[in-house]
Amino acid sequence: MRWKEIPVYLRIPIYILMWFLAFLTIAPFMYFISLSLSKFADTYNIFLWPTSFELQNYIEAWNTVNLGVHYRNSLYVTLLALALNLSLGSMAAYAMARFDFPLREPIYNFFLAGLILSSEALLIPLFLNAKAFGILNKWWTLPVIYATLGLPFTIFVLRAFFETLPSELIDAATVDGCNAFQSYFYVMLPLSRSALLTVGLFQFVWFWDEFILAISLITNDDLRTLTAGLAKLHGEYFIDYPVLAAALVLTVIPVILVYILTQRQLIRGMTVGAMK
Amino acid sequence: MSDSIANTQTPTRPQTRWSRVKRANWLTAVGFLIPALVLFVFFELFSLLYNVYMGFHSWKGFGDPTFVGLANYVDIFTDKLFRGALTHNFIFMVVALFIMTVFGLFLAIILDSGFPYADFFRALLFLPVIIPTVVVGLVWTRIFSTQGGLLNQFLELLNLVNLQNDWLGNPKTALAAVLVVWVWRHLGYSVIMFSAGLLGIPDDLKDAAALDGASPWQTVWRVIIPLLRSVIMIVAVLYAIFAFKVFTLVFIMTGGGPYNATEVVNTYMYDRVFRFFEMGIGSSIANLVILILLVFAAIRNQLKTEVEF
Repeated sequence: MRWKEIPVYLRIPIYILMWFLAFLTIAPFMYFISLSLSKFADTYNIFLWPTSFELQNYIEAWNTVNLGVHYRNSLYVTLLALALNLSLGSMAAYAMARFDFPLREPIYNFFLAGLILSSEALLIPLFLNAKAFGILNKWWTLPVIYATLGLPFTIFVLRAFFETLPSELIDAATVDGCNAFQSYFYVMLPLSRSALLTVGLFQFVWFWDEFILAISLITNDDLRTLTAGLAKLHGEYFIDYPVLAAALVLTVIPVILVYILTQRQLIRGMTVGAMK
Repeated sequence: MSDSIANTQTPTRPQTRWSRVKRANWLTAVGFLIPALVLFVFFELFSLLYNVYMGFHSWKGFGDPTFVGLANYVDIFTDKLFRGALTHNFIFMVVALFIMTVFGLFLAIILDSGFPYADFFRALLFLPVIIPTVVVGLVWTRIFSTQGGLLNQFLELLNLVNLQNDWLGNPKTALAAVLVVWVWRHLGYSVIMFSAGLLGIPDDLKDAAALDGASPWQTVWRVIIPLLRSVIMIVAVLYAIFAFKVFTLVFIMTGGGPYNATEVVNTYMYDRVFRFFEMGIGSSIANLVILILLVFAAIRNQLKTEVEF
């Protein structure tokens, strides 16, 4: 079906609908950017454009509500979880793609079963486990758990990708004297950059977004990530909306930047994730 | 732009059979596998088994758990609040399924037909998907607010003051308001997935129908929808799962209130564990949720054999 074949009396309403949807999508962003740039006194009269240009709100958000600390925590949790997830996941995927060993397929299916378990479903099991073993409120709690929960998807995508590469490459590397780790590290990983990027972006968005585990497993304010910190900010204090808006804009900047830079791979990662 | 951003299908490569290294080397394989496996067994398998055990016990978070048999399950199923929460999840699911499949497919078809700036629209509609849920929840809480919130301000601007409402504080509108936000955040996802499916239909097929004199309406019903049947099913199951997992939006926007009007299974579970410290109850709910997710997964696996992405 072609757009031009649709009768004009239908095309016009559809056209209006599409642009209205675009407006609805963008309006909340504009509203909050405006809010973040406005004076507190104007909070009640903000539409989609700012009434002034108060960068002060950003400075205040960063300094007074501990946002700087939460930001650092989020960056560190996300990056450490990504590093752990991609390294351990690609190694496991490599083992299952490259080697023949007892129980290989059952172990693979065991990992895949994890795909259906969301962090919401695992909240209580993980919380009780962490409580029993005294691993609540540690600096490594979230990175290790995020990395683990992300393993099924990483292993699923990377194993499938590894198996599309010609195995002669590894054989050749072996003949040239590479041991198993060297051929994984110097041959497989460089060839799999695109797949690693796809998986990494999916995990990045997920780690940055994660909330339920972040509020439940960490109660020490110095270790809280951004999402948990924002929720607390919203719940506990008298709300200075321009400052809160500035905090939200700062929170969103990394994902928007990554989206602009890697749009196509990011969308692919998220879609593969859905169709898994 | 010839290759659209919606082209999410991985390129098909000639499948080469892997010459796997044989058993003599299996210790090396174990070396590669063990770190991931240890973490996975500890955090997932062990947690789940421990949770099954805890579901049969009563525990306040200290001292020894006492065995109570099925009492936790009896407790939640006789609790009106829990049944209410299940109902809200069900409403969420039905509405989400309907909007995401019908409206999402409609948008994808329009964009696929050569709508001007289709790539821009797809990229824009996808933007909310990557925004952290907490941020989405806080932004929309402000929009729905009675204290200078955007929506009520707009209504005033349009002289519709009598439509102004405490959207999140009114039990009649709270669930709908949360649903609107949920749809706002996820719509682009379904559009992208249907777009990927539509790209898989050769243009010849879409054009041939038109050449044979089919109206756009007929092309959609007789060609596109039948060919996309399995993609539609998969998206539907996916959204059933998404809708079932809803937690953060409700938690941020209403906390389950007003008067439990937006309570869903996950917020109910969260409250019983983190407000009332009833660990055993929380475990039994988690077990139920996991069981339901397993059923969805089984349905999806059944469907996946029909479609290859």
